[in-house]
Amino acid sequence: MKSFFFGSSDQPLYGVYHPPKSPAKKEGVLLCYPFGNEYMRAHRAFRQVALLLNRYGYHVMRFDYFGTGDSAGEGDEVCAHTWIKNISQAVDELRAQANISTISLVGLRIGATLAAWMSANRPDIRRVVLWDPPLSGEHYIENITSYLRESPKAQSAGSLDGEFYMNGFPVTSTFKSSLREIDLEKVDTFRAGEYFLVVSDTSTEWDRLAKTIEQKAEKMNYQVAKSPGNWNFVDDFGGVLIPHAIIQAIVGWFQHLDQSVESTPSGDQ
Amino acid sequence: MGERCIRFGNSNQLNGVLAVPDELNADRPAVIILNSGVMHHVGACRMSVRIARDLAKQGFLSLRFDHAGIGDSEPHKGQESFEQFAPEEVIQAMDYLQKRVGVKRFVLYGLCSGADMSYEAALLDERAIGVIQIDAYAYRTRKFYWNYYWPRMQKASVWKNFVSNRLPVILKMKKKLSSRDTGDVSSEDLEMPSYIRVFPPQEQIEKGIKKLVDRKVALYYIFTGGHNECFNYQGQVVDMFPAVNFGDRLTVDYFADCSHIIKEPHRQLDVINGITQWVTQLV
Repeated sequence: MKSFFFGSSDQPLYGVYHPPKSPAKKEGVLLCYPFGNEYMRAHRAFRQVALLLNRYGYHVMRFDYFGTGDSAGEGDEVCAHTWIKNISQAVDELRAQANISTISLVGLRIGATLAAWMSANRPDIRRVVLWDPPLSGEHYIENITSYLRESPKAQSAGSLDGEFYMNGFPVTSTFKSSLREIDLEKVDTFRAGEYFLVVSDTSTEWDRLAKTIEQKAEKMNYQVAKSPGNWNFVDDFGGVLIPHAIIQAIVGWFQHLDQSVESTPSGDQ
Repeated sequence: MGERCIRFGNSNQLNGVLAVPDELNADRPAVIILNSGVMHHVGACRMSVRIARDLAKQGFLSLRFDHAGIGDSEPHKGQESFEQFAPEEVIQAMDYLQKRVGVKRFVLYGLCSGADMSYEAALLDERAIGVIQIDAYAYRTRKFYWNYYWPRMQKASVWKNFVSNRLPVILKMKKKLSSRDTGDVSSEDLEMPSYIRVFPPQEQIEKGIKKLVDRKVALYYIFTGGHNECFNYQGQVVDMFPAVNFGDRLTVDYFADCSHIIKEPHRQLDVINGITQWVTQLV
């Protein structure tokens, strides 16, 4: 495992590259984090996904968006458009680090929505895993504001109609308006080779998204892997979430694809 | 200000980020920022990153790193418990910075379990000249009980409730003690800190603090309202440890309206500014 800064020198991004156990595949997987406390709570699970994919030969990289984690920028400077650019930068960085060309994306919550949105405009992405994604930025905002209405202690400042703090992380007007421009139902074509929607519970929203992607993508798989999905919950002892069922579903999907690719002569192995 | 990723430790197992000021002065102390629970080195509410960057702007080098088994560091390979190996890793961080940068004096900072480990490491290594602890070990005093019970005793409704609801409350407390609120997550899907925070006997901590103060180690305590089951007034540190003559070695800030992980933006600024100013005054 190697941690490093990449991107421009005035706005460096923090990345962690996990080289695969041999035999290495010629494919990399970029992990796209969620936001705020969801990011803190998912950090360990992402490392787990990285190590499991490593075991099956994948090059894996995870990184912090601008204004989050160890990357440059303040929390009140975050913007969905910048994060989409960051995902793109990280794809290029993983290619350079691993000396490979084939890249897949795994995103959780808003990280999944942004990864899928980016893949619609960037045809060189092989596969995209959407883990508990909101359908759109607007849905995400609705989701977090309804969480804050139910758990008012999680809102430490501001007003839900304007700017506010969620579990200690600022949600600014700029961030919200940039999120509102992201809507997976408005995507014309999902250009990655294959999509995998994997969710922690049944929901009509996710059924709707599955249908949308199915109509607009070449290949789509949809699985409900019942597991905890309360990414914003803050306990008083610093616990982090590692939802085994969904992690196994993601890693299993990559494994399953490998087996089917290995049986065809045109596979990228 | 620039930042650099480093690997260090006896088997190069530890991962950290150095925040380097534009003009590095090895005569100034460096600040070592520890994990809180199993949260990685970014820190609760990204506070470790913000503290590190603010310190760098004021000319102080800092290292935020993950203990073995946390965040981006490798798992611990020995049989030792976290409280045994974590202070040793802080010493390895000091060794690294002394060897690579020439810094010989250190301030150790941590929240919750990080506060405990910064105290433990400072006891072991005389290069530690300052310790900053948020929600450190605390012990109830007479005044604590007075502050705690007196406002309640003044309310007639409290007496009424005490009588009519005593049993349910006791049962609830028993339930609370026997299970942690995990937000309906089963234990197999949740990773909790392996370090169980048990406060050592008060006399033991008093002895340790006396040792630090005798060594002229400066102590900065920040207590939050999230720790109010054992700390509830500004002067409590002095009352907790009467055998220690703190002299000018003690600074205490008590933010009653602040949560344990410092979610409140105005308190985030108070903590960042408080730490930077305190470290600046130390030199």
